[in-house]
Amino acid sequence: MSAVISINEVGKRYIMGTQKVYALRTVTLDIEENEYVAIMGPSGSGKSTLMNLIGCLDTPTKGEYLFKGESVGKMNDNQLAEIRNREIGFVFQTFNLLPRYSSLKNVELPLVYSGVPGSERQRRAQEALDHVGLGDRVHHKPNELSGGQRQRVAIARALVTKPSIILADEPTGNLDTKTGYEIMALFAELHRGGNTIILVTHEPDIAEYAHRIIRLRDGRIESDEVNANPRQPEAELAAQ
Amino acid sequence: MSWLIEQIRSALLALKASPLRSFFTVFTIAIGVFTLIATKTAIQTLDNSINNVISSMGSQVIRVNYLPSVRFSDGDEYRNRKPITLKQANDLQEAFSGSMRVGMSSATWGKSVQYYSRTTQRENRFIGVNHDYFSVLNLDVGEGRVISEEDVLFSRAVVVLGLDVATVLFGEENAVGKDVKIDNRSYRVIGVAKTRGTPMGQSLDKFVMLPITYFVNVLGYTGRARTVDMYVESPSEELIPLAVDEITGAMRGIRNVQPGEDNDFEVETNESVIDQFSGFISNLEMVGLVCGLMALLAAGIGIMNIMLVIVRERTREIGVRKAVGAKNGTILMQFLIEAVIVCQIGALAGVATGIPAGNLAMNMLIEVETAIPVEWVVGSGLICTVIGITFGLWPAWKAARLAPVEALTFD
Repeated sequence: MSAVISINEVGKRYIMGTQKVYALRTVTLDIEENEYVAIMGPSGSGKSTLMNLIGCLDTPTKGEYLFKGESVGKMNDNQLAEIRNREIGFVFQTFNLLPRYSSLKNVELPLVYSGVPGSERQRRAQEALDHVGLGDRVHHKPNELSGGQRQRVAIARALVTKPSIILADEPTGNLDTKTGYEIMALFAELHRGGNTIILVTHEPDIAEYAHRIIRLRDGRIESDEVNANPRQPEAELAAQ
Repeated sequence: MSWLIEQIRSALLALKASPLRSFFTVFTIAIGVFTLIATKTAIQTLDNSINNVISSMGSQVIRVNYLPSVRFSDGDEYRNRKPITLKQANDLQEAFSGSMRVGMSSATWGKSVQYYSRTTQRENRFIGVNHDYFSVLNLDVGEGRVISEEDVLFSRAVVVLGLDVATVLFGEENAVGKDVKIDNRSYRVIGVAKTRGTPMGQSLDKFVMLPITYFVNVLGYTGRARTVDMYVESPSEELIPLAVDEITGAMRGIRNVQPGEDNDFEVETNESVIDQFSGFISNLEMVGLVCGLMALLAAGIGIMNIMLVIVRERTREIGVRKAVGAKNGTILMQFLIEAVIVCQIGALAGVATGIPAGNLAMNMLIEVETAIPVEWVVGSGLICTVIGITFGLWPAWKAARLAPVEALTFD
């Protein structure tokens, strides 16, 4: 297996007025293909900053970040946009769907930006929605869907470009427990299907689903352990 | 191409999301375009009808009157001018005998014509003319004959009827040879004129023509306000300037204008009349253009304002779009296209209301042909595109420059 993500002594510093704020001190870590990683930590630990860096939404102020061997720090806005478009699928806590668009249109959006023609786009979006079990909700708008369904649409949108990694930021944060199980079951399934999944969360029991858990504190890695016995969401669902 | 369609569709969707605000924004643009198009449409109808009327005269005809045919003020400069008398007209004809024909007419209004028990309305022009009047102005009779040199020479009591008059009095019957009465005098009908149509909404066939000598000398239509109009036929269009010079010289002699004094009469060609109109019309056009452009400028600033609000409102959406791979340029284009589409819808609304409004307004004044100012319609479209781009650029630029992380976490 090769490292998709290779982070070497990366840090992020903001300048607020005259003060320098270290959002991330120094972090070094590799993530291999088809890993299922949880990044954990309390708020202020730098996990959001790390997620933004990994997701190429932001660039580090020090160190080197290699995405599939390419240095992200040297990329301009357009190159970063292309990486996000092709290689990274985002799943947010607040879903971040466009409210005026149908499920299908929301899922098509990344393909619009990669220039896939209309009919092909529709076919692939439909496929992704089928995959997350929403094949019959393609024409519904976000406000006509439940929270769990919205998150499934968001996951379909993350999947549609067949990205190298799926980056999920508190994906169950706005969902009830049962719906949370369902979403985690979906991630487990995607992982078995070969996807690389990075989960950012502050809830230990959500992190327990991942196969590797990285804990952050004060902008540094506190621990980086293999989770020998990950939770099985399907079994928990069945038990309910 | 499919990308552009996608962008336009997305822009329309965004406009539909807040219909009231979109309506007002579109409305401001529409007002500017309406002003431009309505003014231009009105002017064009006016222009068309003026050109139609004037060119129906024939391009080689030079008019000699004591007042200009187009006046835009009551100006004192004309107050002391004296009408052209039949004697002066005859002198001019004499001066050009053998080189140019001189048609003459002198008219009064509101005559009724009687044939036994049938009478027309008191709405007919009663026009004294000479023989050349018919040939210079290309008038012809449908039956009978026109007024001859002898009719004029001997002041005969004969008339050529306008078609409307003949129809009222005689219907399908032959009018020629019958005797009609006007103001209790009897006249022999020698011809019925062919129709001259109804330009500017008024029939030109309500008239009675008789020899000008009878009109002036026998009936005594002469004096302060009774002038003789002359229509001189230039041998060719090329010779018009020369003919105008000769006529002017001859008239100055005939009317005893001293050297150094201004002419106390007008010598007009189709071109000179159209020129006077176009001077007036291009002033009107300027006013319309300036008003419209000012309104569009104001609307443009309004659009910039609205676009700034929209960008702020949709900061999160911009963040999402960037997260899934929209480039800065793509976001810039998205908001520019949205601004341009607002402007284009406004332009469309302005054109769609401006053309009927311009036509209707003119139609209430005079009957005119419908006009569509194609160049200005295209021009408005272009101007609105430029306004959309100009005033949309800064908001769109702000949107494009947003950092994805900050945009995504914006509340």
